[in-house]
Amino acid sequence: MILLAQAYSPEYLAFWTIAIGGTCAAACSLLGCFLLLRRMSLLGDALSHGILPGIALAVMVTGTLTGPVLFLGAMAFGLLTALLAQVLNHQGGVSEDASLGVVFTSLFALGVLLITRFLRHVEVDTHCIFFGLLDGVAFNPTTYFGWEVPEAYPTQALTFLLALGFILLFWKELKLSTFDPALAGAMGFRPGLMHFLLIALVAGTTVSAFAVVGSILVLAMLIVPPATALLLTDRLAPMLAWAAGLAFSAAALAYWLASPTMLASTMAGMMAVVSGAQLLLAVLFAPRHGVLARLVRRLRLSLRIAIEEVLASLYRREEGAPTALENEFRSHGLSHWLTRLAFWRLRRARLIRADQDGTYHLTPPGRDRALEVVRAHRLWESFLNRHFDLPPDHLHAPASRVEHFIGPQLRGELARQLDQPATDPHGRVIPPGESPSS
Amino acid sequence: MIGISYNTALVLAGVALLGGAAGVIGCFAVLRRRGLLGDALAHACLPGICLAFLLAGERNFHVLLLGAFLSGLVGIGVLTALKSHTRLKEDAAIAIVLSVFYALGVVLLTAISHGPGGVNRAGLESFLLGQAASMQFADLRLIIGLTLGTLLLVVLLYKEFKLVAFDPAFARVQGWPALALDLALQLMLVLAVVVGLPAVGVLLMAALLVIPAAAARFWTDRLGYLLFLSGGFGMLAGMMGTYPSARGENLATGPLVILAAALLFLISLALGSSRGLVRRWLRQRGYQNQVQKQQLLDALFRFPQAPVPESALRERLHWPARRLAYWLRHGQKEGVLVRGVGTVQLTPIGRDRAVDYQARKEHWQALLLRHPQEVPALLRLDLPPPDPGLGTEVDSPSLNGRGQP
Repeated sequence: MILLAQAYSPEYLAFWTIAIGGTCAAACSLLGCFLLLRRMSLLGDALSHGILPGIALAVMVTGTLTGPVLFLGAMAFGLLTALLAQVLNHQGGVSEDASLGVVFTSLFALGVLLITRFLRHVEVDTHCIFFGLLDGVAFNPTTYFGWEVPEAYPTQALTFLLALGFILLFWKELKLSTFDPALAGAMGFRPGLMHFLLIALVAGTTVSAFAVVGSILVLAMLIVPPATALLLTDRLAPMLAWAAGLAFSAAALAYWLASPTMLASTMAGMMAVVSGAQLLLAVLFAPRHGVLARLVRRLRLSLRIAIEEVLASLYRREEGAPTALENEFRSHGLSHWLTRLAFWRLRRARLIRADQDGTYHLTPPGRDRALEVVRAHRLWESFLNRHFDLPPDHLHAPASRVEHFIGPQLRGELARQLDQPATDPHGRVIPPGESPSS
Repeated sequence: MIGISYNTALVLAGVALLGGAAGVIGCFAVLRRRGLLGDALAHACLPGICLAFLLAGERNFHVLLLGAFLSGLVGIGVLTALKSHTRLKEDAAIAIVLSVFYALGVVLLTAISHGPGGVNRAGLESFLLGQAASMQFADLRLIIGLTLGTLLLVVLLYKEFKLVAFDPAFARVQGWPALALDLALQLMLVLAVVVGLPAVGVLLMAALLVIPAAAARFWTDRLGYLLFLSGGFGMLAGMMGTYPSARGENLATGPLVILAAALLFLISLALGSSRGLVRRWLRQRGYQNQVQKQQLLDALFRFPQAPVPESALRERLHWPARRLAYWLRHGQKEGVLVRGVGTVQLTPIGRDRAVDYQARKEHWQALLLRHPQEVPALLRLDLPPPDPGLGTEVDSPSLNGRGQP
């Protein structure tokens, strides 16, 4: 097949291989978004295995590995897989994962048995069932409406358009039945029908994709780009766009990586690997849900808490309380370097200053910030004391956790509720706050 | 009994033992609703095998196994990390590990064979489908080791595994190392997969980890029996599937074992003594009969005049004629009613029963009105109607915390 394909120019090959792979992957990803959100990811796995007996039977009947009979046979067994699994789950009381596992392994075994028993004499490349044909996609150019395109492309384009059309047509039904099936049912949107249509489309897409990327890699195309998209956005429409775009770009990148000059590998496998790499990047660097972003958010919070602890401790020392700074911080689980970073930041912002002998003092703006923290702390102690039956020595710990999260508005509210108290339950002065306006 | 060759006996023993061990391990996976984890881990072994092949250079069996094992461990690590550090759910994580690791393996494999369409597609196919027929004594030794190790671990950590399998959150609250125990279960899964892969391939391994456990679930609600039965089913399926190929018929072993397991599953689905379809149908039937008996008594009791015309009774109950005739005959035999010519009348015994039933019904109504929030729980518990002597403040099990959602 590779030899045959060399009759065409490299640009032509590259363009159409990427177009076919990318369109196929994008179609899978669009539908895969809904599988992922409905927690039906493993249905893709089951479908791509369960269609094997249908393929085997179709090949037994027609003797070729293409054509509408094959599509129909595979489609029928895809639906049968989903249906059997659902019946086992609902009527048989088997858990969802186990029913999928039972059904698809059994059907797959049946398919393998059919192939090894009856198709040994038929010249069939059964490998393409597992691996797909993308590397040697049927390049027999066929003319459609005056355009010369490879034989395999129209199927993929049609699948993609079908998936897209389905999603656009049933946008609100799909959205509602995905996120709140009970509400969808109550409003008369028939979530069961949506479920069935979705499964039928996934089965159809799986069948049309398996010839290109192979049965197991279909699963990668169905789930991995949507998973990446889910980490990048919180809204459904952008998620679909991201998923399709990522899938298509994975195809382009995979073509380049799998080319003989790079890694000389199979393009279908490489597409899944590239998608996996995209997911890894998203897991690490996604703007809101990425590991790095969350790490930065946590660090900033820790640093703010450390800064406020330092300020409050300095203020209490000014009041005459014997506080050992180091112990104070350790009791809050603040590490040594974080505290040092806090001191550095405070000095740079001129909120504290150091004496000649190395002791720290609050500057006037620093004292203002410290006052806010201490006020929040003591107001919360008073609040706890009034509304909860806690011994006085149990007030400090909860207050020193909460003090960092009580803003000016909540401080005003607390003070108003407590009738503007002057002292906290321990008898210490609550610093007067912002003017009790509004 | 036909004479079987040494090689056949070896394959038979190997597949049967593997089926037994996988059945036992699979129980825990199925109970945790991760039936397809075995499938994912089996696929995740491929890149390790390929890397080991690249590094070791030659087909060194033990290095390949080690590669598969390490790769499976990485798979578990990635799965756990995806599950706990991103917003992806378990099913998505399993699907991702399965497909991406497998794809990585395929890419490495083509790299090994230098270009697509190389010789190693056959190798990949045997990875997927296995080559049970070429099982060696070394394989059998490994399988025996795996089986014994599994059994030992399950016996030693039975209580802990049970707790983690049914209520991991409770286990954590009670101070058990839930995560470590969970990882131990997954580690056993990886070990089983790695040992089984060369012999039976990815798909059979996935099937052996799910089907026997799912089949055993129809027979019992107790973990001990479940493990025993599931292991037994796995062994039986292994033997049933290997036997035809042992007889020399030209059939692949792996698919046959899966189909044998599927057959056992179907039998269990139909006849299972705890959740089987027949059993559930009978239970439902028994309940239906009880309700119909009571409806008949109730209808007779509520008629103002004593001998009730059968036609009027039929009208009130909306029953088909055959059903009414059946229950009238049944009632006569039990002595709760007597039949005249086209009329029916309650005997004193029947009257007592109807009064009793009436009282119970009113009591239920009062109870449900007083505790409307308990209705789903009470219905699910399938309690017998309470004794009216107890008053409406009944301490139903649900009110004591059992059967709460």
